[in-house]
Amino acid sequence: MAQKRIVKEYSELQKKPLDGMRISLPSEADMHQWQILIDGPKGSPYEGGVFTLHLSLPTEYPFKPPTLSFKTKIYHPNVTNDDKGSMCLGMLRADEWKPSSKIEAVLSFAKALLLEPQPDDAVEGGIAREYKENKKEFIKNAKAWTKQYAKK
Amino acid sequence: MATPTSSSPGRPSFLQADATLQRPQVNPVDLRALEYVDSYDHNLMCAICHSPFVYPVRLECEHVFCQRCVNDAMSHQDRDSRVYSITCPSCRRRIENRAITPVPKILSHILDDLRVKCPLECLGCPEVKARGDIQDHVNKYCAYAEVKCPSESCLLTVLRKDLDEQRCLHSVMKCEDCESSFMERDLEIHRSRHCEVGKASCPDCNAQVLLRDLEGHIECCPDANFPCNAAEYGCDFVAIRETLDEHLKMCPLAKLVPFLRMQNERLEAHEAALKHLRHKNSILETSLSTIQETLSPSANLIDAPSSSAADSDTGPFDSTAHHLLCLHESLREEVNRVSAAVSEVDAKASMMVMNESLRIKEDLSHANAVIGSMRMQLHWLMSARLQNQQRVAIVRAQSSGDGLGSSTDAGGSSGSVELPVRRLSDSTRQDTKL
Repeated sequence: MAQKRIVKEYSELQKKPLDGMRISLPSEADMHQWQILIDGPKGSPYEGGVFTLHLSLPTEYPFKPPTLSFKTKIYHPNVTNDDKGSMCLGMLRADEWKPSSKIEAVLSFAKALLLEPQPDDAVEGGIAREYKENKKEFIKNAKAWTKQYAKK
Repeated sequence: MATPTSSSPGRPSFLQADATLQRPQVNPVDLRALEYVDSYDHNLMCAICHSPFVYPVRLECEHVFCQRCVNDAMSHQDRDSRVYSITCPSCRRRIENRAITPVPKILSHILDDLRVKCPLECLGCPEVKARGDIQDHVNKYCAYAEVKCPSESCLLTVLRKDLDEQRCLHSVMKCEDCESSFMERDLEIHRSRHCEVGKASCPDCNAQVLLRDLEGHIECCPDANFPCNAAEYGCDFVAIRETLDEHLKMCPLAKLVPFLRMQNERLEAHEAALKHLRHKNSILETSLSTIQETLSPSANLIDAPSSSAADSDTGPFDSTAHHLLCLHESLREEVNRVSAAVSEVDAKASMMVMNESLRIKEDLSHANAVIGSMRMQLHWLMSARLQNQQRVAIVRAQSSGDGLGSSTDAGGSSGSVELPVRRLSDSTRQDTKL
């Protein structure tokens, strides 16, 4: 059943793609691993960059939440600053995930998070503090990282 | 069948062929895998499997899911948590009562009415059916469903449409082009879809194309000739695609095509209606003639003595028929009345029987009570008498012991006497001890 729902959601997203997002499968044989390219949203310090995300759907999907990670380094309070790039999304936590949530919602949520980070729910405390206390510095750093790692 | 030694080299290849001609599972039909013809209301979609509900059920919070999706969700939550409660997959409300309630019938009907393609469409079945009928279609009617081979000695299956051949289609044959072996029933599909060698020439451009690509080639062959759109209405212009486009702009008949088609449809609808009416008319006529047949002999009988000349007239017939009908009607009323009376009497009788039986039951219980009290009294009397007897016996024994004066006998007799005395009430025992 999981397979069928994933195929359906994938084809729906291909037919009606989200703004500024391109979705592809790294391997045609495995529907559970998606690759997503997100353009840095306009008005955010990430504008002009292209970020590669990896969405991994568990075999128990939709009863278990998918995991979303940034393959491109990003200066963001809600994304871990290591080679995993795990993203902290409230709706993806096991105790908050609902089987009726769609991947489309997950992706739009991720995009909204780029526009407006949530420092209270951060995984990178340093960046969160900077975002709260010294926004100018944060924007400068984020822009620099975008230029360095997320160039088009 | 070929001998084992000669069939062994051929066997892997037709096993392979079976794997390439993959068949969807149809028993039972997986309703989620079906292709829905029309777009359906998104409210009919299960939030878990994203298909229109299959056997929907309702949870306590009034969210509706497929039965199987709810079961899956519950089993996943059971595995994760130790507490015996689940949350709704849509609103995360805790559901204390695991009982799921059925959904209104109307929802099931709407779902059953969704139009779907036959699951065997990939094999060639063109049918589009309501979802509720698709299992029936596959089981009983679909020409591309598997049924047992008509040959009694053969245990394999054939497609229903090949049943007409009335012979076993499982002998192994060789494809003329690629030399691989197939069972006869699969050969045609292999040649038209999978064979990599077999070629045919295009009837228009004479190019050699693979047999399996022929259909696609003809559709886009630049040299293919197409008739004018209005061919069925009398335009016999035939040309290749490019010239045809120009012709279509000029051809007056082609412009009339939509109108003519609509007229044809209307004509067909009228003809169908006419046919239906004609059929109805014939039924009415036959029933009228049977009525006439049953009535006319009696009419003749009645009329014969009174007016032999009016035999061919319809006047007396009408009146007799009327009379008979009246008679019939009054008889029917009589019968109705009688049956009503019978049922009334029946009800009365059963009421009476019930009343009577109730009374008898009461009497019986009364009598039972009386018997019980009498039995108690008798018992009491008997026991009183027994006591009396025993007391007399003891007194007699004591008096005889005194008379004899031997201590051993007295001890023995008093021991033997005490036993039954114990059974009596306390007061009597006290009496004896004293």
